[in-house]
Amino acid sequence: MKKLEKLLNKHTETEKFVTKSMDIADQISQFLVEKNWTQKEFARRMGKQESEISKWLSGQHNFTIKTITNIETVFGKNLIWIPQYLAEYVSVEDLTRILKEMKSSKKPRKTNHKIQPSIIENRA
Amino acid sequence: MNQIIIEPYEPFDSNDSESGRRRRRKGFGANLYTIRFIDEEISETDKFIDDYIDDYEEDMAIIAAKMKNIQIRGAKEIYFRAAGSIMDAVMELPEKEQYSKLRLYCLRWTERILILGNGGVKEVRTYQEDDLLYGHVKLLQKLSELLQERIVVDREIQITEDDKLIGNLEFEIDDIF
Repeated sequence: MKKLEKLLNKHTETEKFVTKSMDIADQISQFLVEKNWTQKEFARRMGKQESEISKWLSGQHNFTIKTITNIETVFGKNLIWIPQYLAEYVSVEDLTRILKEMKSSKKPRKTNHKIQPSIIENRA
Repeated sequence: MNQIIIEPYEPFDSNDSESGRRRRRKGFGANLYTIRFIDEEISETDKFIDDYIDDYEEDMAIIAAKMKNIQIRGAKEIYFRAAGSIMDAVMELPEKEQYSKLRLYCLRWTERILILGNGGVKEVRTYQEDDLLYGHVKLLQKLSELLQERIVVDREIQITEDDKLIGNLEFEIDDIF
């Protein structure tokens, strides 16, 4: 087994943490594209320094629930879905359609993420 | 004068997750490369791993996890911190966080091509204040310059449709110090 593979097998929590943090970073990045906001503009709306936003997007930031809530408020969209309440975010029909769209996606270079279509707005 | 070669780098066993393989097939992921001095057997990235894996296990695990994710998601600019100048593609991995001082330097050529170099522990504010880190960055900066020339001007290196580097990947680089 290769050294880094062995290391990650020992540090499974670290790998999951980085993966989750990169998931969130990718989603924020996608929201920025949808809103046509720069990181600077996002920082201004969040009342943060741009360097802080860079850390959030680096894929190793330990987000607090408060930060996630503030980000969701600024974007007006959910960043994280809780499975137990998924039905409140999106109907089964829409979810089925989204999954079908994701599976048949043939243009990954243009659209890296398809899981946040416009129909899924903030529950509030 | 040093002779170095850019080589494909596979730091993980191929038995990654099914979803990871699917994403890579769809073209999201990055191809990893490393650099090796021709008269040495071990690559610069493997030297970095060997030098720090025992004393900085947790920090190395973060870098490894990012590398693995980059192979699946692509080398997006947001995951890195610019380390060189605006004229080159030298980046630092991971982005500065207080809990991690270990840095791996790399050339983020495109979102699909990442060339990993060597690194070290950054105890100083800037890499220029540390000879070891400075040497690693400078080597990548020179390589960045030569690679640009060989891809754009001389056309001795081509980038394939699946984002692989082909052609003459051997370079002669002046001594750093």
